[in-house]
Amino acid sequence: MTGDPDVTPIGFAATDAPGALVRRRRNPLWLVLAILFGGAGAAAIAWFILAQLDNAAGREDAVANGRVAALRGAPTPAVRFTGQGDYTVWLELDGVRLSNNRELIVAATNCAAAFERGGSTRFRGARQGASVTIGDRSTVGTFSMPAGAVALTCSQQPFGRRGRQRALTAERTFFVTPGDPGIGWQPWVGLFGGIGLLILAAPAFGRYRTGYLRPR
Amino acid sequence: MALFKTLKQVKQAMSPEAIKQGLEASRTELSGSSTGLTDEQLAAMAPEQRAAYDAAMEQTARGQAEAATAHREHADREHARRALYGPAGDHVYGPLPSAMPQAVSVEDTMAVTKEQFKDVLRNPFGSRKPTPPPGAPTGAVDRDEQAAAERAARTAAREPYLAPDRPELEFSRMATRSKTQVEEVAAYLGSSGLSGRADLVLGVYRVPDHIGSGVLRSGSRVVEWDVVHAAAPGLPAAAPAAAPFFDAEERWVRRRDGERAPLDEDLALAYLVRAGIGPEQCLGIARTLQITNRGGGEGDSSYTVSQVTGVNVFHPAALGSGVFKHLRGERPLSAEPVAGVRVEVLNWRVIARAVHPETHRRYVVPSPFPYLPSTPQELLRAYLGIVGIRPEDSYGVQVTEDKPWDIQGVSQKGPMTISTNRGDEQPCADGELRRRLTASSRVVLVYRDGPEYVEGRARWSAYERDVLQAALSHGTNTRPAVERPSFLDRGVVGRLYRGAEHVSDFVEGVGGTDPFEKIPPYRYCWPLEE
Repeated sequence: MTGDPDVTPIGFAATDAPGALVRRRRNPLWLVLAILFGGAGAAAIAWFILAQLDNAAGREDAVANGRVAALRGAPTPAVRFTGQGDYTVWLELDGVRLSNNRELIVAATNCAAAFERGGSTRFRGARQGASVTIGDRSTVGTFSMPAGAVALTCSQQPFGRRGRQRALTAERTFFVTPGDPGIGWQPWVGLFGGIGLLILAAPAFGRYRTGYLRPR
Repeated sequence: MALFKTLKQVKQAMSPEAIKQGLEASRTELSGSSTGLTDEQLAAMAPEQRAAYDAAMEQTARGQAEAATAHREHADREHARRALYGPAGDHVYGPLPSAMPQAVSVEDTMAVTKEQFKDVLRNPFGSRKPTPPPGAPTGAVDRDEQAAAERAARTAAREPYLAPDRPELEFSRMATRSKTQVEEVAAYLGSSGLSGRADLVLGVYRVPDHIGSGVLRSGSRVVEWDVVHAAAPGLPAAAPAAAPFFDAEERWVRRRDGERAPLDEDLALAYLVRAGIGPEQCLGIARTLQITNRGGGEGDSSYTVSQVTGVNVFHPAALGSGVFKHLRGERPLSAEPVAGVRVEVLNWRVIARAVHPETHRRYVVPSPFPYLPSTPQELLRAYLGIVGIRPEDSYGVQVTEDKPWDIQGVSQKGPMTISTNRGDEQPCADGELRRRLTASSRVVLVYRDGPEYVEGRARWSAYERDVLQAALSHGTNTRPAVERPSFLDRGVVGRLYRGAEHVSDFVEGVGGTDPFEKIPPYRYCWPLEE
């Protein structure tokens, strides 16, 4: 590698040379703080992720499986099961690589639940606040049902620009798990706090590395 | 019958001989070599026809003279504007217009048009790579060997111009941390003994490169400094140097509309003169640089802005006690150029455009213009050697910046222009490889003038003219006339106008942060005196 023949490199001459008048003192407290901030931030973020994974029902917990009708396609049979309380519909998106298409498919999925004891509810992926995605699965929504049986149908409805709706023309599979995918507020505090701590760790380490000059 | 006559005339006019004769006559007229009508033709004219003919010829001659004058003025302006001539000048600015208007024939015009058309076909997106010089290696070369060979040729070309009693110079490059850089330089000047022998020091300056990547390491970022001196090793240690700082955003200097803006070095000299510090006691005048990454949000352009934020004056700590405080109390100062002191500003940026066009890469090897220096340090060393400046006469020498600019590397890849703030890894003063954006615009020298330096500058002019094919004082815009902001930019109206602009940008979803918007247009004298 070509150095510049016009200049003679002398390193950190002010602090490292044998006759240097000053030396760089580094306060280990800043290093400790940087490590603490970095470690705590990473741990808090990891806690959030683990809490999400723990809370999310697995494929094996499904109480029912069905198919989401394609846009302008034939209706799919209703899924029937018995239970009570909150249930979450998960859409399987394996094979869809583009995140834009994944979001579009989730948003375009509409479900209707008719209860055996009367009454019904509708929900759709576009109106669920935050969609939870784990691997190739994303939530469409959560509904509450009274004790008894329910008939659940899902279909893809027009959503977004017409040019992108080709992604909605295939049937998708879904499954239903008991409970709500949401987690408590504490992991969220952990997530944002963790990000803040990671941001603080960088200048703390910089402060340690910069140090301050002291006479020898 | 009249119809037949007309048809006959048309047939005669369209005959190949007549067309050929017409084209010849057009070419003769366009090339300017037409001598007009023959004597017989003139004699056959009626008096009123002759008068009209003479008037028309006179008007044509006047028009040609005016066009020639305009062309000469344009050529003179272009010559005065350019800092580079020869092949490098043609590459940077385009071909230089000839001093005299030339007679242009149809064939010449066609040839130029054909060449321009070919150029567009070869290079439809406008990126221009200079043609390699004759004799340049065409295949793969060893970068170090090629650079060394080119440098040796330049050194040999410089030899006849060098001052006979020039001192041997050393550029010591040291690494510092951004937050403590000035203290570190001051301490090094003490520990090396240079602070006690200012008569051996020509100057100190911050190397204007941006080293390292990442936005959160501003304080601990490595910043390099060069100390230019003529000292042998082994000087006894002295006290650290003093380095008072003049903030460019403070109004140190009084200037009115139309007056000349102060140079950073003018203010530093005002301080040195007041403190009674001569060049033999001055260690250096160093413009303070700040390089920051800005913008880069969603839909927003990113910039790496280098700007001068002030000036540090390095001198032995025992001198100039209390002067800075006094000057601060007396602001605004006049800070006019000091008689007997030469401030030379050389335009490095224009050379960089020819030999080091991409700041994120190293300079081009083989050089497209091997007669030009590859680095600003080489140019500085050449000036010092040719003019023969002695350290005891030097207030400061530096490679530095002037106007704020975006130093990001820009590459042209076919139709795409790629901008990056990630430079190639290059060795730093501590031996570590770090990413670097190489920037610098000016080489500035401040020294006590004398008759031997007048002779030295004559040698430098000859070297510039004959070897570099350059006039590097051109295009530096040194001490420009200051201008008041317009009515719409001043006071309450200005604030209201800017507020309305921001609201308009927000509503229309355009804009973003302009990193240059808040930088004052002039240093040390803004706002101007009413």
